[in-house]
Amino acid sequence: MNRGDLQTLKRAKPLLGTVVEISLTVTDESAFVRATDAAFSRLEAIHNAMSFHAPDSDLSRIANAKRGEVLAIAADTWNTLALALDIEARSNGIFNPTVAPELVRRGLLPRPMTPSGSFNGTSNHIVGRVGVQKLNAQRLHSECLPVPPIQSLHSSIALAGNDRLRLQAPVWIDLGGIAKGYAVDQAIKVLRGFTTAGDATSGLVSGIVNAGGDLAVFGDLEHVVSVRVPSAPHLAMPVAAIRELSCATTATYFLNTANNAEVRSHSIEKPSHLVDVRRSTQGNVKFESVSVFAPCCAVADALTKVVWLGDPNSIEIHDILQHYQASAALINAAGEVMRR
Amino acid sequence: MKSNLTWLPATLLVAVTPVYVYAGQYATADEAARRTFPEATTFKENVFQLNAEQSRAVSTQSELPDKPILWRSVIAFNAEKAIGIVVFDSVIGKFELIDYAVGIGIDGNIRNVEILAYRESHGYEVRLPAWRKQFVGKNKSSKLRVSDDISTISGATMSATHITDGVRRIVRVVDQLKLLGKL
Repeated sequence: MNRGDLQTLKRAKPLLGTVVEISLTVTDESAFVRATDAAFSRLEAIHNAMSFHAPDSDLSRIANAKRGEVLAIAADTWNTLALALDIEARSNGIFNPTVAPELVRRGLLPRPMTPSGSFNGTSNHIVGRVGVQKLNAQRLHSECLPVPPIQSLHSSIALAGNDRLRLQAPVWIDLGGIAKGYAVDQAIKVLRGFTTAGDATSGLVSGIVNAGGDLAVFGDLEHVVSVRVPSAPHLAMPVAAIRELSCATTATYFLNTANNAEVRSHSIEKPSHLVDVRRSTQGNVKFESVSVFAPCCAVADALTKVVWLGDPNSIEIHDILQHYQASAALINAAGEVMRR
Repeated sequence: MKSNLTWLPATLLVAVTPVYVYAGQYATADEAARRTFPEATTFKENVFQLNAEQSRAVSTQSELPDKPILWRSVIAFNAEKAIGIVVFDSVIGKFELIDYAVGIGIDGNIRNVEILAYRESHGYEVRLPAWRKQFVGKNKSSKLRVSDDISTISGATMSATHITDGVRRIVRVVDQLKLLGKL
C-alpha cells in the first residue's frame, strides 16, 4: 500500500446521548464506509442495551426487577457491570454507578417506569439525555417506580454466568460514562478487524473514535489529544500525544457551576452529574477538569470520576491509576496542568 | 502494537485570544443518501412544504413546535420503485449548528441518522475584557495551539438532544408525505 494514497475520512452519528465521530485513515472510501457501518451498528446495539432512558433496555429491566429476581442481560451490559464492580471495589466505593436516583432528583435522568408506562415513538433509536422534562410529563400518567436508596453496586447485584444477574436489592443503575467508554472500546475492536493488521487488503491504517469526548485511537499513527480549557471551553489545549490509547475527560465547564461569570451566564442551567457518595473532598487540589488516559476507554471514563471525587495526591488514587495503567491530567482554572 | 503516551508541555493562553471555531465536515447530502440506501439505483431531489394543517399534525404528534419550512429531501428508487426518503435538516445545539440527514424506509422505519456537518462557535467570552484579563501575562512565550478539528478533543462536546427531537419531527413529516401519497 502506498502511503501517499492515504486520506482521512470522518463520519458522525447521534448515539449514546451525544454525537459519535469516527475518523479513519484509509486508502479508499468504500473501505471507510464498510468499516464505519460495522462500527456504528455495534455502537447502536450497545446504546440500546444500556440506555437508562429506553424502557426495554437492560437497565430499565433491572430498575423494574424485584429482590431475588434473576435477569438475563446482554453480554455488553454484563461486561460493563463486571468492570463497574471491579472499579467500585478498587476505588473503595468512590466510583458508584447506583447514583441514578440522585441524577433523577437533579433532573438529569428520567424516572424509570413500570413497563406499562413505556413511551412509544422513535426516540428509542437515539435516545440520549433528552427532553427529560418532556418525558417525565408524558410519564406522569404511568406508574413511577419507588425510589431505591443509593447503596453500592456490589450490594445490589450479583453477576452470574456471563449473561445473568441476580438482584439483591432494588437499584437504579446509570452506566452513563462507563458505558460510553465501553462502546468506544467495542467500536475500536470492530474497526481493528478492518485494519491492515487484521486484513491486509482492507486499506485501513489508523483511526479515532470520539463519543462526545470519550475517545480512543488505534493503528500505527500518533494522535495529539487536546482538552478543552476549563475556563474557556471554546479553546482546547494539546495535552498528550498518544498511540493505541484512550482518553476521557470529566469537567463542569458547560454547567452553571463554572467559576466564570460570563460563561455561566451563557450556559444552559444544568446541575452537575458528579455525585459524591462518600462525601470525600478534592483534597487541597483545586481543578476544573480531569482527563484520564488508559488502554481501556471504559476504565478511563470511570477513573475521571474517581480522580475528581478523590484526592489526587493520595496513595489510593496513585494505586488505582497504576493498577489500570492509567495516567491523569488535571487542569485548573488558570489552565495549568497537573499530571498523575 | 504498544500503547504510548507522551505528555506535551503545558501551554497557556496568550494575551489576545482569537475566537476559535471547531468544525467538522462529515458527509455530503449525496454520500448520506447513498450510505442509507446502498441498494438504490436512482435518487430524486424532492423539496416540499407541508400546509398549515399538516404542520399542526406533525407538531401534535411529535410534541414539538411547528417548523414551517421548505423541507429538503431525496427519494430513493430501486428501478422504478420508491424505497425510501432521506430528509435534511439543521438544528442548533448548545453552541453549535448541526446539519444532519434522516433516512426513512418506505416501511416507515428509520434506516440511518447521519451528521453532515457540525460547527461549534463560542464567541461571546472573548469579547468580554474581564474574561480576557485573566490570561494576560500568564505565559507570553508559549502559544496556544488550537485544533480546528474536533476528532481529538477530549471533554464534553455536543449533546444529541436537539437532533433526537429533530428526528422525531421528521418521522412525522414523512408520515404526512405518505398520507398525501407523495411517497
